[in-house]
Amino acid sequence: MTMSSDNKDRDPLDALFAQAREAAPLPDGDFMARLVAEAERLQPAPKSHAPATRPEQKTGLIARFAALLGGAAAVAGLGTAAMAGLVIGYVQPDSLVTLTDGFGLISTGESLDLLPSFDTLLTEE
Amino acid sequence: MPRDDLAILSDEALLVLYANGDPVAARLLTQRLAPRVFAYAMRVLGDRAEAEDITQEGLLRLWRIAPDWRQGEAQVTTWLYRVATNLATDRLRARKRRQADTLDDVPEPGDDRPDVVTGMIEADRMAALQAALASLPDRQRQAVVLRHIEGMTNPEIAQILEIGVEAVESLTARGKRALSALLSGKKEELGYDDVI
Repeated sequence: MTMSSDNKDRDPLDALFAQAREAAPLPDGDFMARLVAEAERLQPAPKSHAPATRPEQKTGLIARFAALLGGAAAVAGLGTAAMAGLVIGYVQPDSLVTLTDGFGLISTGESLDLLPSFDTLLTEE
Repeated sequence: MPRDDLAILSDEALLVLYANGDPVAARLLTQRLAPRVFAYAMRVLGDRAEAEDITQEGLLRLWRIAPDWRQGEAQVTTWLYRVATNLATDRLRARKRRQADTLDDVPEPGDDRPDVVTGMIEADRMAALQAALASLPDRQRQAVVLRHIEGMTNPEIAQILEIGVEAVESLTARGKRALSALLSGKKEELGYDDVI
């Protein structure tokens, strides 16, 4: 057994290491096939690239009622109108009387109480 | 990316693809890593069946950790060599326990040098090297194999053996000296008679 001229020029142990690197023990084909099969068996499932779909949302009774009236904006408008009606109903309409005077209409000089107060109701008892 | 181009990717990138379910990555990583771990285990243990067990177990652990692999913290090869080293160390300890249980007069590792030298007469150089490696203490053998045969750097070996770089240098230096002493009387058989 003779060494190559390349190996002769270096430290004998280093030459032996170099030879060992070139003659690495290899696993046999069956074993490698088993390893590949095991790697595939343990592999996580491929991630899907399909676009994510929004989960179907359950619609509540209020949401369905709002949709029936034309959506949230329509409901908000209705609510505002209702609040405005209540305010106008409660407030003493003095300013309206003043306004009608300005147009030359006859004023009774008395305010109109559209909604009797609770005090009045109590005194009547 | 075409399938064939995956071969140029790093081990870490392939491991990410593996975790994402790419079957080509599973095959490429196995073909790339298994021979290295197997060769290392063979050098350290000198037994094909045990080297196969360690290779299989090491890769099994890699596949299991793949979804949680933190990129940038460690190289896949370094991590795998560390697992293989720990598994091999367990096997070597168990082997010594069995020897101690069955043979009261089993020689210490340093005492079997004459047997190694005698065996080298009929063996080729690789078998002689393997026999000499087998006579080294376990940690010295692991360090020498990683440094001089597997081609790892000292910092990489320090990570694998979980010791400091200086300890690695000491282990490899002592291991190499011991190998030289073991093989020095057999230069002629090894084909080094022209050099010395």
